[in-house]
Amino acid sequence: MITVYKAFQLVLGIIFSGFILFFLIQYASDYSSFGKTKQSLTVLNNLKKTSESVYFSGNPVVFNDTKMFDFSSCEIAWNEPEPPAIKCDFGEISPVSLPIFPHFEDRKESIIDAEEIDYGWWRFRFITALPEMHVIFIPEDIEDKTWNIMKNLTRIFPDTQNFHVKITFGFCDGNTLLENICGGKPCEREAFLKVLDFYRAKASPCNTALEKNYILVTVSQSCRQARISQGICVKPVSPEMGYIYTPRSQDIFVYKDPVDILALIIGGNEEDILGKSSGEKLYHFKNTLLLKNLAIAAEFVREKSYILRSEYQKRCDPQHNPESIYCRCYPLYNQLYSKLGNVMKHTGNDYTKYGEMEMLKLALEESKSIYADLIKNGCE
Amino acid sequence: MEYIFMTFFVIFVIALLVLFLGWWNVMHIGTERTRSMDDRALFLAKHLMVSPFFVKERFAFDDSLLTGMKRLESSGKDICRELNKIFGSNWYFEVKIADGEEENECTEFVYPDCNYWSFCKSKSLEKERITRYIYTFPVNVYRHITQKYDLALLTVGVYE
Repeated sequence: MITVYKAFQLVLGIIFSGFILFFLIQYASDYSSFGKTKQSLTVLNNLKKTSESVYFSGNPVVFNDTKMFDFSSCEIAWNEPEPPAIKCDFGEISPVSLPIFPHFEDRKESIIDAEEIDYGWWRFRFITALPEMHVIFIPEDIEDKTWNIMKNLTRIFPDTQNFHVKITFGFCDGNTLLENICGGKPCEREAFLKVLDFYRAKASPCNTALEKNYILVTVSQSCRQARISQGICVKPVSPEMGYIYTPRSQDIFVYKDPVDILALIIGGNEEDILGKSSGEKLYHFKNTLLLKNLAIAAEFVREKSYILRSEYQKRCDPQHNPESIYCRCYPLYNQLYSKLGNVMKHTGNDYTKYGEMEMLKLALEESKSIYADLIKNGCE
Repeated sequence: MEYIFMTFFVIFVIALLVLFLGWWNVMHIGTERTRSMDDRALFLAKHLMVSPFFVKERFAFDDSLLTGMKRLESSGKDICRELNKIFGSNWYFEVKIADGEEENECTEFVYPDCNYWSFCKSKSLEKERITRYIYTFPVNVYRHITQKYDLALLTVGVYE
């Protein structure tokens, strides 16, 4: 028969066991969620380091670790006064000092590549981290500016020829998806650029049902708000500039370089709780970053022009050697100094206004042209 | 009675284990911090050597760009604050031409007869005992006036 003492021992044992088990389970679950977060942040840190290597070397790589967890909540965001950070639901990594434009899908590998916009006297170099995707163009006319924008946009994407993560290009015309048009296979960047050289035909709006990783890019003069239900609509106004429309009814974006279009494409149309799409946020991030960096670069190069103008002018002897490098160069540095002043003035413009961006674009083209003259004359 | 002792012993061991794991994580965080500062210093050095803000071409600084930045600094502009937005804070860099001469800091008035540029180096760094991570690398400097390349040393420092 069980005594009171034995019963007491049993009850005490059960209480203590329950107590210990409770804390063990709680600790294990906290630690396991902490462990998963730590692993996800480690993967993001590795992505940052890999992006840095790609930035410095220029060699694209495939990053496999994004297959391990869901990074679809991650986006690049400002972290002022420090450099930007990659912010996710589970945490963030910072500083991210290099311009990175990432797009993450749930458990997909990414291809990381470096591209740049060349302004002559400065280059804006940036990294893209993209999953496998298929860019489908719908050109609604055969104008030169339509084909120009398709070529410029295609060049900004990575060339995935030697990689298993593919970014391919094609057309859609009504119910017909023209994808395997490069020798019966999907076109990657270089092959598609060759296709664009000899193929020119207009297409009608795409009615084909497409998977999630198909990105539709309509190029048309009749783009307007809420005209399209998926992808983006690009309306070229001049060979280099125009407007971009998204499925959200109130959005019109100005593009002045293909990276503006790229930001809206890779960001996507998924909205956050405030109703802002990821593409919109990436577009604003890209323009704020570019204009900040451009302002700093213009200021530095302008000061350089000032210094060199003075030094070259001192050394120029027009009477004895009017064709000397000093006499050829100092007027050009003087012009560059003046033009970069215009560039600096316009970097403060509103990037969502076409007219203001047109002024910036003009100032950039003028300064690029003078820099080309500097190179031609052996000054740079 | 023995069971009670055993129970308390088991609880004691588990508590020790928890404390040990906690201590291990704290040590790991400290090591991680040191490694991340080190990585940052190396990253800054690599970035400076190829950044179009400072170089004429990869690994070749542009002496007129650097002197232009010094001119901006002397006009009262806080260029470090601008650079901090790109590169972060608590860092500095110096470029010294390897000519065996004394340091002669470049300004617009002595250019091009100068051999040293220093940016964002706080004077208090020399006096205070602050942990610093410093790397020095050989680089080139393109001298615009003579149109020649000189060998130089780039020193990058990151501090807490």
